[in-house]
Amino acid sequence: MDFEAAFNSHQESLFRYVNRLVGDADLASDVVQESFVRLLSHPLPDDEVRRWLFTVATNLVRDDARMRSRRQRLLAERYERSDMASDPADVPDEVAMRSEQIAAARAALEQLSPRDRQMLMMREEGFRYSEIAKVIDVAPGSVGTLLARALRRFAAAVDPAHIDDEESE
Amino acid sequence: MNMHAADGIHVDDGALLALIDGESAPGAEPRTHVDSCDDCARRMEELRFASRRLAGALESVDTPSPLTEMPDELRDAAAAAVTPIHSAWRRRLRGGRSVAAAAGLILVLAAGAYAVPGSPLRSIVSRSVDALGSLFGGDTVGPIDPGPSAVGVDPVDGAVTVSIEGATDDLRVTIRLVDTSRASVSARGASFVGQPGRLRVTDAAGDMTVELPTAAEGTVEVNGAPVARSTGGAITRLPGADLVPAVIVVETAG
Repeated sequence: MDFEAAFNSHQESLFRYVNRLVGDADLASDVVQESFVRLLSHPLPDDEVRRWLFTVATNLVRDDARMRSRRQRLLAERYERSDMASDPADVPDEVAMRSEQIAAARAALEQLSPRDRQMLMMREEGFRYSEIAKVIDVAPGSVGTLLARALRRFAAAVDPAHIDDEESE
Repeated sequence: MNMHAADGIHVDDGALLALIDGESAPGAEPRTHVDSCDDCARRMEELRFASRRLAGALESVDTPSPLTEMPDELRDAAAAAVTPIHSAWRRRLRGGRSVAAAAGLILVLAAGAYAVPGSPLRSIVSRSVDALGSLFGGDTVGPIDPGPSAVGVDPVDGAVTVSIEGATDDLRVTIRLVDTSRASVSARGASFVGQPGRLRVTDAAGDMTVELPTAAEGTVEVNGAPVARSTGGAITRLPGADLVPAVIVVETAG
């Protein structure tokens, strides 16, 4: 395994994934670096490196209560900033609109369970269902259904008028 | 809802999303059904729309990675992680064929001696290895690899468990099935506590090999987490294998 090649190949995707999970670029950077530090002592075949890194990073995020509480605090701060930024007297409309979009997206993502977020974000990074099953530790045959439910929950959170097809029956 | 097209009713959301994602859906029926079912086509479009919306939302919260280049700390750690033992030994052995031959003989003896716990050869080999160190000259002689010790244990009621405790990231465990009646573990510097049906291994480092009998149900645990299980002549790597500090290699083929 070429460690530097592995870093160059996977760090950007891993950072994006972790940053989306924790909402804090500094914290995401720390998690990514810690994941690669751990990789140093795990000389894996090249085709196993990516999934292993995402598993480690997922567990680092999942298991760290301090990280979770810090994330919530940062999100609260971000929402406050977003509220301030949405004041048309202070900022241009375009910036205000983007801040609102970010706040809405974040709020919708926050309404999902950690597992839903992790699964959706791994899917966004192009992981196969079989790989998601291994990282999240669910049955491979259930990944499609779990992802679809998570997508509908997200849609409902973004747009409260959205009617969940399953719940309507 | 949540019924298969083969039943002539509807395709569930999971199968619809699998179609969108290009994942293999069970059989060709879902696609055929969706093409002729307005309800399923509508739900598939809803999932597509939600998927696009999610992608847009996630992109809106993205920030560029600050790690455009490998941080110096990580680069230093990577450099330090390269184990020079093999190249050091090669340099030392380059001194002469006779010394190399002696080294080889002693290492073979060491491996044989240490494969038998309690063997009196251990002390003799250790002394020989120390003497060999002086032949090499140089500042110091690196740690001598004493070779692995191996211990076996019989299954009880067709089941056997190998429990590896205190594993760190220095340990690499290779697990395979073998056509023998006993489970066995081969490891360097390890302590073993065996009883019928269970073998406990502690203080292992480096390469460890765990062989499970094909005729029994075998479980390998590392630091309390199941990492591999064998049953019916097949072996499966478990999710716990990715969560323990040791490297777990499960040989499923051959």
